Amino acid sequence: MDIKEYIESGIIESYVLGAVSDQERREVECMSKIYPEIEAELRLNQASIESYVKSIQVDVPTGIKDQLMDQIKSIPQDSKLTIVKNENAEVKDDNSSSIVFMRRVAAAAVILVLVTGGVLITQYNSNQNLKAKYAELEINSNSQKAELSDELKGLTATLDEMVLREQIISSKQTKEYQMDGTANQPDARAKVYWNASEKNLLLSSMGLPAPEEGKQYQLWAIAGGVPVDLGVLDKKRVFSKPISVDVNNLQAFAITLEKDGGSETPNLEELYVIVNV
Amino acid sequence: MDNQADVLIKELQQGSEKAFGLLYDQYSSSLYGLILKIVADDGLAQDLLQECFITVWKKASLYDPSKGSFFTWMLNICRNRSIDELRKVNRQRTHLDQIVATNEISPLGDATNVDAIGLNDIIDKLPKEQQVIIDYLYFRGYTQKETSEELNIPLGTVKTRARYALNELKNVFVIIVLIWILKNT
Repeated sequence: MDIKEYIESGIIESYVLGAVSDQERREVECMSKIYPEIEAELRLNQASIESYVKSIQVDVPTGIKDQLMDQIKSIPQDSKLTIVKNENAEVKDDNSSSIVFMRRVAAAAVILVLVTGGVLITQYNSNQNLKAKYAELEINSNSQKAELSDELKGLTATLDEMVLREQIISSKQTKEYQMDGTANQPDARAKVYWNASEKNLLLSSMGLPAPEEGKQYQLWAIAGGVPVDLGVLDKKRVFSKPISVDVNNLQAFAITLEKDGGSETPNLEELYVIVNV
Repeated sequence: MDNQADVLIKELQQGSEKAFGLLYDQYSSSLYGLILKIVADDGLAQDLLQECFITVWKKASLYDPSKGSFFTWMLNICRNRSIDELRKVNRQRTHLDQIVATNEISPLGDATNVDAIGLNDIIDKLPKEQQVIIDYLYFRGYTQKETSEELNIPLGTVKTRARYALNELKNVFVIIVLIWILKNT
């Protein structure tokens, strides 16, 4: 509470001029009880008004005083005693100690409410800010989550594949075949891991040159003198997925370069690597 | 003087008619001046003065020294009651002639004012725009908002002028008290 600011707000002047709301009036009374500076300012302003009113005094016609003195003889004063004694009556007396105490409690409560209100408003505002930021983050995080989730799925799949590959490669039944380049493609290399009992194979195609645009490598099995399509190789993939090969009389594996999507029969002019089994 | 006043107030609160009489002697002309300034009607002002003193008598035990002097407490009783009455009268008059009503609550002329310290209405010494604010706020009982609407000036200006006026009064009274002391010694 900036007392100077409070005094300079002009509320005390408004108070002594009677131009404040009930709430403001209570506030000034409460403040003046807490801060001596405010009380001093209040007293000074009240004194100004008092002096002013004294300066505009007008003599009261005689007779009025006598009438009043007569009247009050038959008018009982509102007594704090009668009020305190009557337990059912609403306690209005300002002077009883419990009231003084209650008023202090009330004053404290008012201050507490003001302070708490201030704190709550601040908290509310920062809460709103946080909510907005959170919403923003949530949107970002949702898209990130989706991305991460996709990435994770991909990684899991890759891991599963690798485990499977490892199983195939390390299996006793698996044989490793080096596929050498043909006369046309002497530098091309590939490897086949063939598990005859499981009829599974793995291909390592890293040694093949990058395919031309619009073309794709295709893997074949030669069985009983007939080429059997084992599918096209993923362009980006270093290792192929395990491929199930259900053929009899297996003679060889071969890779040709075909048009995108693969062909029904191998183009032998574009035969890159081959190995006899 | 304060102690004397305190004793009087205590006696009044205990039902002393004598104390009531003494307080009447001390404050009645000031309170009457205030009421008269607000309602601008001798008969009505006298009725209100009596009514307010009855209130002072009845409610003496409710006076709370922490809120201000006994005089300020009485001033508030008189001002509030007079402004209530003024509003009642104005409502009745509004039906007849609004302009007449506004003119009739202008401050009284010097003829009825008996200036105790030998000065005219100090409010008159304030700048005109401050006088108007004091008039609306204190003597007509307008709120700051009503004053701002009535005079068509911003609320902030009403507050500033009220503050200046009060500060001015404070300064003026320092001088008046000095003059008064010089005159009476």
